[in-house]
Amino acid sequence: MSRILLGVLGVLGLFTFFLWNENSKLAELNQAFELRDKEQKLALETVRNDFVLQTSSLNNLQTQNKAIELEMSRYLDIFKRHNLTKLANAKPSLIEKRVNNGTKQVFDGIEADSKRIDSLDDGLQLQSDS
Amino acid sequence: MVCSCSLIPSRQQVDIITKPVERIIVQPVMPREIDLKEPYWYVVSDKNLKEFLIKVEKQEGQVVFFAMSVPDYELMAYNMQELKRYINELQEVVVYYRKVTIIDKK
Repeated sequence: MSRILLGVLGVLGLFTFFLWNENSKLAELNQAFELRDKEQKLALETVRNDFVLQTSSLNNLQTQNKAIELEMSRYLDIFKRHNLTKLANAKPSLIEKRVNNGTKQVFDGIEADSKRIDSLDDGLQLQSDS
Repeated sequence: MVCSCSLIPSRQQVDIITKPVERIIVQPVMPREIDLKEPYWYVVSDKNLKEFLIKVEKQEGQVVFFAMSVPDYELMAYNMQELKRYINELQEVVVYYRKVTIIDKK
């Protein structure tokens, strides 16, 4: 009787060890899956954030380009609306002033635009931390 | 015996994990701003031609100058506007690339 009991206890002990071992392996696996899930979520979030930033920046770029094109059209429209040859012939000194003012305005504009590009790296760390 | 054999690891499991890697892109130094010198335009018609020739002779010591017709002046103005447009649009592209490549550490 006691031999049977010992045998049953032995089998139960082995079975318990097997279950405990399986449980440990599953716990480790679960931990690994949780980590992978966390990292994948982080990767997805980064990709999503990058996409949002790129989309908004591209939209902004297109808006700016449209404004630039409009400004150019507005400026060149002056020549379409006025007969410069006729005006220059009639009032050369007046047109001379206008033409020189216009040139100054355009050159100042280009200088101001280039100043904006030059100032983009002001206060920026150019070397990486690593 | 069977249980004991199952405890021996038979093979190594390899996990492929997607992990975001922050790339640090070193930003180049921006070019120096443009410094333009303005030329002076003389507008000359038959009304002030003599006056202009005297002025040029007085300034240069001889009657010599470059001349440009009105349509060519308009062409020059168009070219300047085209260059301005190109600089501005390129500038916006630079701003875009800087925005998407500079890592916000907040």
